[in-house]
Amino acid sequence: MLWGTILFIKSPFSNPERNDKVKNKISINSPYILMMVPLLAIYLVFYIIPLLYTAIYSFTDWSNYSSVTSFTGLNNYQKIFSDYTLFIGIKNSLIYAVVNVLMQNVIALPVAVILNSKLRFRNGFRALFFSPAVLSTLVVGFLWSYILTSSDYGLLNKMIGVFGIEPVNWLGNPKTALAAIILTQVWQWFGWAMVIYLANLQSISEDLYEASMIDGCSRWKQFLYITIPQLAPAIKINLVTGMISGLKVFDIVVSLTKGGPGYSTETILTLMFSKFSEGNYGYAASFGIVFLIVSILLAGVLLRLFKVWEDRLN
Amino acid sequence: MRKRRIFILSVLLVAFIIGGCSNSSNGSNDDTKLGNKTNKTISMIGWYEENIMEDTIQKINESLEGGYTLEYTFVNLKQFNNVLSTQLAAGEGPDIVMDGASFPARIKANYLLEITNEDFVTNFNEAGLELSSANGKVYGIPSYGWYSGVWYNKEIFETYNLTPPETFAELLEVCQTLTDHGVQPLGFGLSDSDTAWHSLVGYLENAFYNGGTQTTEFDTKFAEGEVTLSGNLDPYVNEWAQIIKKGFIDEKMLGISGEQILPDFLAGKIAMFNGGPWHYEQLKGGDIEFGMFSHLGNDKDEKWLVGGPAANFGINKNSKDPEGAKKVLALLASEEVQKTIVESNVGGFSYFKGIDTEIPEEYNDIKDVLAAGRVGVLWDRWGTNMPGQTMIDEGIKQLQGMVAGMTTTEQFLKAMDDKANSIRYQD
Amino acid sequence: MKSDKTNKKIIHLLSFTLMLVLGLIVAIPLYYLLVTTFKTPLEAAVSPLSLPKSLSFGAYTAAFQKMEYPRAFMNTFIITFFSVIGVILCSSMGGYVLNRKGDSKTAKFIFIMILSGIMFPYQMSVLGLYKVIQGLNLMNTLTAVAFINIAVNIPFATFMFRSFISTIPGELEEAAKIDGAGFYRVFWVITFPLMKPVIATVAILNSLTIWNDFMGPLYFIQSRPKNVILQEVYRNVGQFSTDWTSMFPMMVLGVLPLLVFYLLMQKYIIGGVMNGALKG
Repeated sequence: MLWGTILFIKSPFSNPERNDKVKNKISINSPYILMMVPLLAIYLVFYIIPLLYTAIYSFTDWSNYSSVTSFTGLNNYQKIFSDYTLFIGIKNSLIYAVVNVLMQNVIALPVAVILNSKLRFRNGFRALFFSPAVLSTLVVGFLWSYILTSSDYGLLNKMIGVFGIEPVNWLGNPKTALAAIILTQVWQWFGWAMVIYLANLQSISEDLYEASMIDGCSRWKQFLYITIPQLAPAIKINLVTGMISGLKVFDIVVSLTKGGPGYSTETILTLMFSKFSEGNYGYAASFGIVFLIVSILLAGVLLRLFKVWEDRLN
Repeated sequence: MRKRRIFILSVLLVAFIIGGCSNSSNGSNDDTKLGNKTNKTISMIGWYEENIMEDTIQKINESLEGGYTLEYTFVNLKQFNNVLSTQLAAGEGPDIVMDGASFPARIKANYLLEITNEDFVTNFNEAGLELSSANGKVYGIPSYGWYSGVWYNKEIFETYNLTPPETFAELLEVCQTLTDHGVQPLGFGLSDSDTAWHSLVGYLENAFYNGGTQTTEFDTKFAEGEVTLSGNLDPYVNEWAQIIKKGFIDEKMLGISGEQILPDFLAGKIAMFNGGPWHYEQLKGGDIEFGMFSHLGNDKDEKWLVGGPAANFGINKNSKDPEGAKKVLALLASEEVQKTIVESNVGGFSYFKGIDTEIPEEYNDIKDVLAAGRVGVLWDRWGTNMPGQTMIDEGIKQLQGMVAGMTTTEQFLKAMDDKANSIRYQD
Repeated sequence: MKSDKTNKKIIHLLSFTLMLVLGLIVAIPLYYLLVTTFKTPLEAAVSPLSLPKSLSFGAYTAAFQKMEYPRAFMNTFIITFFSVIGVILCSSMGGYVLNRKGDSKTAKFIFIMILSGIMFPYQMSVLGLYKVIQGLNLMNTLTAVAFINIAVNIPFATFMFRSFISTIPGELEEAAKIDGAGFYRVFWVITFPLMKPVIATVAILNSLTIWNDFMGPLYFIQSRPKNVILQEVYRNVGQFSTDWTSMFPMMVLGVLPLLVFYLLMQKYIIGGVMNGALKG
């Protein structure tokens, strides 16, 4: 990938004749190249090269268990697919990503619509809803581990106790642990999605609504047939970035459950990190590469779906 | 105006980058290059809080010669293993490598300098070098000896006319009596702590190995892959698991973190919890009378504590200043510093020949166990041929599964065997 | 007509109540964080939500000193400030080229390559990164962390800039060129100032992420004088116990600058996102 890029950039120079002919179509001429240099340089050095190292390691048996390291071809990848924990990891990452992104948006979209209308204290509400996003995930983890604890002074259990609900072992029960993690992240990030919806809402022209009023549309129909389609760009951004960051979930799991109880909340990344801590570097690297491929595929599929939807809207 | 602002910003960025680079060449490691002999830093990272290490570091810096300074950086345990592994694997890392159960793995990975012939190695007894030597060669020195047992509230025991149990069966009886009186017998915070694991291992040390049917020879064989846990440990794990079956360890404990136990213990809500000397200061800060008894098996007369060398110190092979690092290590191995280390970890014992620590009265019940040196732990013995820490982590996870009712004894042992198979050293 | 008005009122009231309930849910954990800093551990355990008995800032002054706040703040600030500027400079120029030359295959390829960076958490290639940082002799410097942050945040920022630039008509640049302005002059004098909204957005969003980055400093900065705020916060997490009375105030102190920054910049966030990402 690296060399390919360099070749691509260089090609206008190394092939001046061809360059002249097609200048206006595909060449990138020199002032443009210079402007790309800082970005490409930093990106290559601090991102692509380390990534290439990882790719190379993934084909070796580099570990703390053996003093010699050799290339083992696809061995690591074969091992991955017979590792039952990987499937737990993929399953949890996917559940997390999908449920989290859906819940965030199901809350954020109506909230944004409401806060886009003339409501008292709307700026206060906007600020409040966004504010958890300012916190570091680690801080959120600590905070919520105290709120969700099943010990006698767990805040959430105390609160639902007021309504006569039995205490729930939020993080300790394998069945609820992942849900509890998602809960904290919906709390932290729905305000972020809301901001993006708000931005989009402000760009919708009033005329559309006025026209529909004349046609006698109800508010609900307006919401369904004007607001939602007009929000397509924001929905796209929120779902795609939400999915991607959802798959990358790591910090919050480590600070809330460390993947437990048992393996019930392990994600792809937490697993990779434990392989890493175990000193299984080659194997951990292959986890990383599999993760990258899965994410790219998923993002690709999502973007395709949006394209279909947008085409239909037009 | 705007243009100027942007210009200034760009200049700042460039200045920053250049500044950063020159900064790095002023950094600690390159001081020798500049001929600056007054301030050479030897680095060390560890998971012991600074207040524990403070006196030790100060002692060392007082007597450190040659213009060296020891700089200690705390990294909390959640990230420690990852950070140290990464640094070492990248050929970087602190000059002094500090590690516990993973120390043999560091030796195995060839990260440490051999120090077999250094004079200070002879300061320690054999048990103390168990984790820091391999194949007859020595790569590190111990800090102090840690052990875990069971803390109990003396007042609660007196109220119900109980005495510290002497066997595992008695422990179960004590728990039952307390439960009948509405007192929670045992406190476990299983969401992040290893206390259930300690409880199980403590039982095995007593019932399976030493006083039981097997000797520690079993672990040597297991480390080599000649025997499996499945099929050998089943009845013992099942016996211990009564503590789960009878509800003394329950699911609710999976949602509690280890440190949330202490306040309840101090408030008299919990009669016992698994722990060690590291709790002592906080317990002493409360207003209850407490004591510690040993892990238990079937033999009243020969009880064993779970424990071994705590952190070990070694020299990073990639240290840019091995001379300085050696000076620091020699000081770490000196009587004065070793004394300071033990004093900072009240209740711990020293592997330094001739240092006898005074043990507070709360430890009276385990005094003779300690005096007889009956302290050991299976994962240190496994560590000769696999990374011990990984087995600990897996054990904790699988036990969580057992408490949650997802995992049976057979599955637990099988998972441990599988893990061991995947991480056993290959050469 | 009248029924429509009462209808509106009902909807308004309903919306308001809904927001109030949601607001409460969002606010309670934040309130809990804040209020705990004024309580003793026992007080916090017994009555977690009540107002503190006394409003003493003792915990804060202690935390302030213990974490060497001015120093930790400056380190965090330096990393955040220069990373954000780096991201903006690199991505604005890069996004500009990738938009203006968007039809070329090379540009498309580069753009996709850069976008794929959004997917991959850099911690996965931390060993390679160590090699790079080592090779550049940047171990244990703020510079290393800043560069990593720039590289990590470039993809999304470039995406935003590239989309936004499509809303700036090329005619402006052409006109300036006819007036005799050079290529770079045109960019910095004409185009760059027009990107203000998206610059604001990128600056704000990246400030949040970079300020809260923990792994970067953890891996690459060892010596304490260079530690950032979150590393100081984490100092309280011991092997067997956490010093909560220090930790909660530290968390609040760590977040305070961001909160102030956010409240000041709030109106730009919405405006910026609208003009930035959504035009793509």
